[in-house]
Amino acid sequence: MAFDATPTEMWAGYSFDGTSITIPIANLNGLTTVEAHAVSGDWREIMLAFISTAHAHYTGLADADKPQAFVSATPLYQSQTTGDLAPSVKVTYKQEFYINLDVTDVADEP
Amino acid sequence: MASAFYVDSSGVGSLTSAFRIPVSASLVVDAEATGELNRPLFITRFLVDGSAGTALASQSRVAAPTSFTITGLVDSNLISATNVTKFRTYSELSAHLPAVALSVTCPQLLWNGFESDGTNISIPLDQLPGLTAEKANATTGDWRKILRALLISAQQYETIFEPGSVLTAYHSWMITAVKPHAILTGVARQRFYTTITLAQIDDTTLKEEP
Repeated sequence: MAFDATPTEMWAGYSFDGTSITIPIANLNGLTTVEAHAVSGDWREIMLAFISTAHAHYTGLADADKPQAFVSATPLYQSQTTGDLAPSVKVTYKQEFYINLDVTDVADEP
Repeated sequence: MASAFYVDSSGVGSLTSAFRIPVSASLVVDAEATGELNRPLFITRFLVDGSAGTALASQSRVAAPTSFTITGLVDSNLISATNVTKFRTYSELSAHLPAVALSVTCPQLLWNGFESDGTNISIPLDQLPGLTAEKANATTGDWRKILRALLISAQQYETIFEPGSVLTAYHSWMITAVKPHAILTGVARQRFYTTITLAQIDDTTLKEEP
């Protein structure tokens, strides 16, 4: 196989009606309906779900199927024992996109 | 006749929350510079509650504000606005507006028109920078481009808030987009660092704010 960029490969049930993209909550890692509520929800939780879902998908791909123009690095976990948020765990995700400068878009796969 | 709220944005006091403005009103922002106004004026989101009604402006940035008026509000709906600038008469403004302050983490403030029906979430294409219908197509699109547009939207939203504003109090989240770094002719690498604070290492929910 080779890398498959099809959105439904990332998010089963993904759809696009020409105006909006729609994704099942159940296919976004850890996201709940409460967190996804349009007004009382939290976009940070939604973004966390997108990011962690993308990372899980990326790491789940066989090496031969991984994209080269996108890399999701292993998250860095840091225990927080001091500060306002302690005790907690700070996690940093790093996602790299190789982009075409002329169109600022993700580069085509080689 | 619609009433009007007058806001002089030349002074001190940050308006960093979202407020709902009665539909019978217009919001007039008159930025008469008095020497202190040297920053862009951001009107980030106008939301209309309910399905009837149309958002008047999804996002605008007034680089050199003079004055503008939000009018034509749809009856039987509310409009919400987030404004991130300096207002001398912030207290006066807030006194006029029902204090329904939305959290800056409200999904609709990041993506105007965001919807969730309990099963799916929907984000309008025009809220995702650089994303086109072609890239968003379910079968011929590219999830990397969708993800990058999502990251850019969050990063842009975060950066409109000034130091000391409400969002900076949310320690659980920070996203940094590193300026694209050219690595080959015509090709660059762009990195996004997203730092999230969790209660536990295997958690999928942000740590509660202190």
